[in-house]
Amino acid sequence: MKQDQKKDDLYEKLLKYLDGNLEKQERLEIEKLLKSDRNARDLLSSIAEQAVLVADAGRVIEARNTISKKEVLSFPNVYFWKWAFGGSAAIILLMITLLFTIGSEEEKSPQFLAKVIHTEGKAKINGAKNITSGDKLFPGDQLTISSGLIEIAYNESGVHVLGTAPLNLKMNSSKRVNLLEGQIKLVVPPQGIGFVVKTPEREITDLGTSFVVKASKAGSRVLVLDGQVAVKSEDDSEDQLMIEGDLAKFGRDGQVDWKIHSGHAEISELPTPPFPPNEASLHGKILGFKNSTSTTRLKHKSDVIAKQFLPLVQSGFHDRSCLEELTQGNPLRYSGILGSYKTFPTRAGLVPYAEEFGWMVWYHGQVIPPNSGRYRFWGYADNHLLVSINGKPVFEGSRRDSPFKELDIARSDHPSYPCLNAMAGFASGAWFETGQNEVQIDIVFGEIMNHETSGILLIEKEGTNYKETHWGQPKWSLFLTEPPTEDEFAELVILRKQMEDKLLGSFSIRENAYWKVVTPKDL
Amino acid sequence: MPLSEKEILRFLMQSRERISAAAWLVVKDAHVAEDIFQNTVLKAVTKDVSFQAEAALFSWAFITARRDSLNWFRKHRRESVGIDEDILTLIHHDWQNDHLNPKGNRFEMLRDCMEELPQKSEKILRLRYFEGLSCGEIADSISITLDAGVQKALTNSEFLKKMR
Repeated sequence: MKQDQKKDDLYEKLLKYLDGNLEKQERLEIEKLLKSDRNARDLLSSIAEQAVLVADAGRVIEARNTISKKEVLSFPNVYFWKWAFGGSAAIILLMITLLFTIGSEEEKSPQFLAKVIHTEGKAKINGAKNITSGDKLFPGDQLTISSGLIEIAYNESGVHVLGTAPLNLKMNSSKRVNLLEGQIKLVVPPQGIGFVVKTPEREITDLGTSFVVKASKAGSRVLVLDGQVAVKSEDDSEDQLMIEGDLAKFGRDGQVDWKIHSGHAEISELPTPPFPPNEASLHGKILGFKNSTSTTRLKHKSDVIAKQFLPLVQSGFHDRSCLEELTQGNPLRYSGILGSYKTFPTRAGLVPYAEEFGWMVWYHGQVIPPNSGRYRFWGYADNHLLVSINGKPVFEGSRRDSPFKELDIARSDHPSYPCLNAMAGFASGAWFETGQNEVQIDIVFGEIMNHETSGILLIEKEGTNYKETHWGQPKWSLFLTEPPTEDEFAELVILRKQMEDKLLGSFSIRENAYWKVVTPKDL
Repeated sequence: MPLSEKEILRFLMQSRERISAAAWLVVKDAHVAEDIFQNTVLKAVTKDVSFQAEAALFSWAFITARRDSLNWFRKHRRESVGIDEDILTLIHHDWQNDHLNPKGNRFEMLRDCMEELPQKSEKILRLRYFEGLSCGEIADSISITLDAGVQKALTNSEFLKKMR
């Protein structure tokens, strides 16, 4: 029993070790143990094997929607291959390709990914069968064309692909194609948004567009003909958005050449400057580190502004001692969080401040919900966004590397609902319930270090029917505490059109959705 | 006489779990580990290399997968939370000695069990090993308040214990 407990403790520690969550001393101890104890290494190995096996099992379960059981069982020598391959769908797909070299033929299920509309020249599936118009293409199929062209249409999404010789591409799934060599042009309708083209150098995710991808021995190239695509950075940390006319080249040697269109599409900043608060406003203030030598100690840390705010959030917004060393701008009136905030610190009077350590706005007050019921927040910010009700965080819509993640706030991401530059789409918080009484609200929104800030904060009331965008995204209400002025309203409508045109999200402005301020509070 | 292409394929598929696991220990992403394994297989059958014995093939595959994993890791991660390379070498030696003793048909058992797991447990497993999230990120996504909760769930899983 004791032995089991010891093993469990070690297992738990190894999980932390793998996540990089051990303190230095603990890490050194566990590494010492792993170097000296075969049993400890076996346990570590078993975690790695579990990871591989669980992923396999997950893939097989997931693949059942596209690969019928009949198809797998009809594979030649299935029992041998199940044993030899561990039953993994991914491996079976790999082997479909490899085994052609030793002459196997497989039967196809009726669930196909795409259909060949037209082909000219010499085109083959998996190096063997000649392709003709009307042929169906399945997950794992590899198309090669030595001359001519091929035109295919995806079954579910309607994505249209035109490929020209020499071409070598692999049909991965209904949302993904692997371009090994050649050039393809894609036209992606709204239902195909999120379609991914993978080249040896990069992953290109379509955000509703037409674009061309070329892969060769020298590297790959992306040209956007219309709309917008997102290209993953080399370290997967962020995406570069490309619009009509943009061209990017990615060399096999790691060289990158961006030719970005001068009028790059990005979300606008609302022109109206931040107003001072009045009796009906939710009050706020903008804070940043002082531009002085006292900040030298921060140089080696990252995201210091959000870390500085953590004690305030953790205390239910009571402990303000962490703000004492910060400088602040003018008092602010909350008028929604929406759009770009490039010049916001200057316009809000936060000058001078240590720009390299970022800024944060904190809005605070007592508000009354428009109706009793269940609500949840939607949104996203690059970098930080957090909302608390009665001192308890109910929404965190920050970038994935924000220190606010430490607060373990329930959050769901919705990649199918595009939102600004968020690849994971809109984030939503957990539902929370309110009565007719006033509640304390705190909103924290800010930037880690530069001026590329953007954000949006919306609210949904359970049971309300919201209009939808043409791509089927509900237009939840912009979270407001008072009606916008006429000028603000006009700006919001223009910004919404810009967002919808660029598939960056949307929102509504509802008169009956304002959370009125009942007790304005100076901060 | 060198191993034939068919023998190479068959042996690599038998050793797939271990070679992928070696890659996973570095990249911590089962899908990337799978890609690295597939590349290793492709290299073994398409490159001009020959193997006189299975042990030599296993050693080559392990080192190739490990080198590709380290390259991937260096290319994709900013902060190193990788495993000490000496430990990886020791694991290589451990496995070299017992790679021909498979641990039974654990995949079949696992897949069947996964479908019968309670929803939350199945979700934790999938998020951890299929989606590749850390315990902290899983805690975020399923509203467990502490990532210790996720670690405990994984540690106490009878299902995973059977696989140790």
